[in-house]
Amino acid sequence: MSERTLEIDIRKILKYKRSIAFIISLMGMIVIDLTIASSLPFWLSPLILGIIGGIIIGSAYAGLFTGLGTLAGRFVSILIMILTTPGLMETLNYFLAAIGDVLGAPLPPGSLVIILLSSVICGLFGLLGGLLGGSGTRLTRLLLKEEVAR
Amino acid sequence: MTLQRDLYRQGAVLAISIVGIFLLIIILSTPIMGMFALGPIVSPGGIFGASKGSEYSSGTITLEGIDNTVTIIRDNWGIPHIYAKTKKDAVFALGYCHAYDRMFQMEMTVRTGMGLMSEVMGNESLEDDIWYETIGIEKAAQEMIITFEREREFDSDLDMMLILLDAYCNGVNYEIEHRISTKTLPIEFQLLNFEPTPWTPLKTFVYNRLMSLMLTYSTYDLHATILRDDLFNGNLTAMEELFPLNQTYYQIPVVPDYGNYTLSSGLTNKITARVQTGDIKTNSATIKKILDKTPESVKYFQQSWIGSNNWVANGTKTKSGKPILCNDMHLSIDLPHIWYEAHLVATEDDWNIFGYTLTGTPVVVVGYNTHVAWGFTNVGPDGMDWYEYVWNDEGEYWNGTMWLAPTKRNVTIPVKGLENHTETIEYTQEGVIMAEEMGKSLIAMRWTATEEPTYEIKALYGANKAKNWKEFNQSMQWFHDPPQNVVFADSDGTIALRPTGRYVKRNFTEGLLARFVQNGSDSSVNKDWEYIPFNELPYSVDPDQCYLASTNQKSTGPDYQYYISSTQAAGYRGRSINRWLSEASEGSIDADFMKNAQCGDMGIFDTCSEAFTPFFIDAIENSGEALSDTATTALAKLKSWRESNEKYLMRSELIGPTIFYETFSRFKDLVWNDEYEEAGISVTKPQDNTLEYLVRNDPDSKWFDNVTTTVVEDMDDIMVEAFIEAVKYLENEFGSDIEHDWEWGEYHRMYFNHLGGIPSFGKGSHEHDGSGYTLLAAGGRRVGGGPSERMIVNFDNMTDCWSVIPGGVSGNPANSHYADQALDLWIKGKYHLMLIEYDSVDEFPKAYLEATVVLKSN
Repeated sequence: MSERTLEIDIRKILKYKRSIAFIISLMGMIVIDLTIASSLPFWLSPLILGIIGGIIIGSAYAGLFTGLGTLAGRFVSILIMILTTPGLMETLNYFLAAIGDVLGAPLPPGSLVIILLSSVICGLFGLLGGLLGGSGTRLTRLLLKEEVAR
Repeated sequence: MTLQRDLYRQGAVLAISIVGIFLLIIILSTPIMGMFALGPIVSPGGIFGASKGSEYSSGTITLEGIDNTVTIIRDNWGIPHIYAKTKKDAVFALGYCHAYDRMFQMEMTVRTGMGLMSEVMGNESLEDDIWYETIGIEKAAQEMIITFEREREFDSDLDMMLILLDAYCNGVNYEIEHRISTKTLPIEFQLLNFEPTPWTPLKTFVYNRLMSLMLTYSTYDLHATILRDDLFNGNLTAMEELFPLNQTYYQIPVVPDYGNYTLSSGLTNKITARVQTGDIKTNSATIKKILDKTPESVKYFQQSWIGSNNWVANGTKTKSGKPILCNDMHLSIDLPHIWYEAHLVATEDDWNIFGYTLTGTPVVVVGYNTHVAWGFTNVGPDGMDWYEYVWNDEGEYWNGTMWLAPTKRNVTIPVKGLENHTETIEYTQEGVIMAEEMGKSLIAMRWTATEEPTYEIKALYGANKAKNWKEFNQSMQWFHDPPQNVVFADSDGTIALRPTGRYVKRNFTEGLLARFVQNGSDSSVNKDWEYIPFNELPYSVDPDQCYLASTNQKSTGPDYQYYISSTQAAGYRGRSINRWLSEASEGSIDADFMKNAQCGDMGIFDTCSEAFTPFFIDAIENSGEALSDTATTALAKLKSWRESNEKYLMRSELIGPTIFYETFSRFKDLVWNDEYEEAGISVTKPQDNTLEYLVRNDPDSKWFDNVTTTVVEDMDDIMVEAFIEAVKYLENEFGSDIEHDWEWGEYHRMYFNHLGGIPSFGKGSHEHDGSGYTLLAAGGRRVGGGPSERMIVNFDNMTDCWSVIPGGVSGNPANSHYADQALDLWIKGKYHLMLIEYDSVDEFPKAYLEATVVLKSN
């Protein structure tokens, strides 16, 4: 493969960088959730994935894609957990009902609420990670450009 | 300029995102209402891990702590059948199972006893923690450990028991560590945001002392003192009529060999004791302080406690010619349930036991092996003495001969979110100071459960391995507290029943004094304790009547020389079971008969309603009172119930029980409340068998008169008033359609509540047969206690042995075995087989098998 061909391939790939960031966030989230997530702080994995996505896209709007990616990734991983773990759905239902008891405002059993809540939290960190990574990358580029301009 | 603006914009976004991340982490990590934090709990490291233990699945676990492979078979009720080579490995696996299923229950129970609830629940639990530290549950447990460690060198059974206890702790701790490391702690830990602490032998003994708290902690002496001083003005003879020390009204003693009480007279025990008020009158304000400080959980248990049943019929009475033994212990019913059924097999040690274990304890408490079976009921002992002292401004008390400063012990109680609390607990020579009024009086408490180490765990170890009555009886000498009526049967055909436990040696005159707060500052008061020797305790083996039964009634007849108890049941359940067993012809009893007696028609027959209902009907019919239409229908219903084939059955579908119960409750209130209110007291009332005595023998008793009216009422007047009030209440509550809306099951509900009071983890209310006086014990209108297990052991061939608990094996609300027995069996009067006959893994039938877990030695 010539140097030029490689350059073209990278450009082609970079054309799909939003999709790449989204897929990395989504797949990364699923893989981490189903393996080592329980031993990590709750915010770490979506944040890191968001930052990675942000760096790939290199712009603040990366947060949109990484946020959606991590949200969807968490949603899918929980669905996989529910399908493979007997009693998980019931546990989530009981958990929500117990929260209602604690708050003194009975909540209907609804594991979907927990799943969505977990996914949204995950998505928020993915979003902020994407913002951080994207704006950081963009800022770095701008600073380099300003340096060159001087 | 554009570049500059772009730089600022990106910088701002960067800054916002960094601030946002930190803010979000802080917000989501902040505990909600001092409990869980939202972020961690809805992450994979949080609630999603709590479903472990939701269902049982087969697998192999390699671990340290066992010598050989252990197989745990979960049957179709989730009950573990543990197959091991040695008993040490078997109890390791039992510890593992207990922790797997009931980790939260174990942790919270011992935290309660050790005064450590504030550490996880915060300041609101501090008062209760101080109370538990004061009565000395943990201190007593510590003294047990020190004593046992010292004595194990000379006592092989104790030594083996401690070895087993260590193995058990290792099993529990394996699972605790596993759950912490894999972030799969049960849901309650997630909600409350804390982790369990390692299990130790100390915790097991704390558990043991908590059982004493449930069954022998009694404020009866305090109530009796208030009654003596404020209702009877020191007249003990008058008090004896309503509160007979030697509870004799219609009592059929547990042990039949010490004479019988005359049914028509309660005053067989002549009162010869002097009224002992001593130099000081008991300070009711100090007593009130003690009563007020009692934790709600303890008060609740004292209210819901309604007794236990056990009985046994020998081969003459049974169809098979072999004994059948039954037991149902009545305790508070919560989810997760107090008992944990387990089957332990250790081939090398000839162990094959099925029974009810307490999570936290490595032995079967009640159950059977292939040789012997046993069951408990509470004796209701007077195991507590209370002393009041004169007390000066220097903080010294007068012990009868000199002023003494109380000894002191400081305890530190960690409080969540606050500084540790240090509490100074003070003691007189006799016991721990429970309340004081500086310069006026102080009251100290002395209790058999904390006085000196007790050896129940050794006794139960002996029972678990006993092969006959002799071995079993020898082991029971170590069962000290809480004192129990122990029923026994063995495969050789022997049946027996005996109270066991520590009782302060007293005759009835001394007992009369000891049931009040005693004057600790009076040197003439005997404050020395000596226990009745085990071989002087009453017992019966293979009696001529061919059966034995105990239902918390009076343990002995009048010929027994010592006073051993003060708070027996009213005896109605005892009258029922003695009737059923004595009327049963030779060779007629089988397991179905026993099921019927526990929760069938015999089990829901109410001898109290049998005693009172005819009097109610006669009084109403003879009164000439103009009754409302509803009252007329209600009376007709009550009469038709009495005259039907279902008379006095407390069945959910019937109307009669509702009318009787509401009328009877109001009748009692009308009889006693006026005098109590006039005296300004709110303490225990006379028992219903005492009221029955008055109804049968003294209808003009002054107690029937309402002292707040100018006219003099007699018994009939009060009965009619009670009936009219009851009908009005029922009409208001349920409407006037008696036929459809007044069913007993609508009125009388069984509640399956969560141990920690989380409503969503409870299982609601259900219509429920029985009453407080039926063998199927279900006292009160909102039932929260009753038969905590039902066991039937048929020695015919061991394949006809039945069990049920009002709960399930699992402590996880999401597990299908959380309350399956309660809802599918117990409430419907059904049972499951115990399956002890399958003493090897290979024999265990697939039809009963849910999962198999193999523990392999690493």
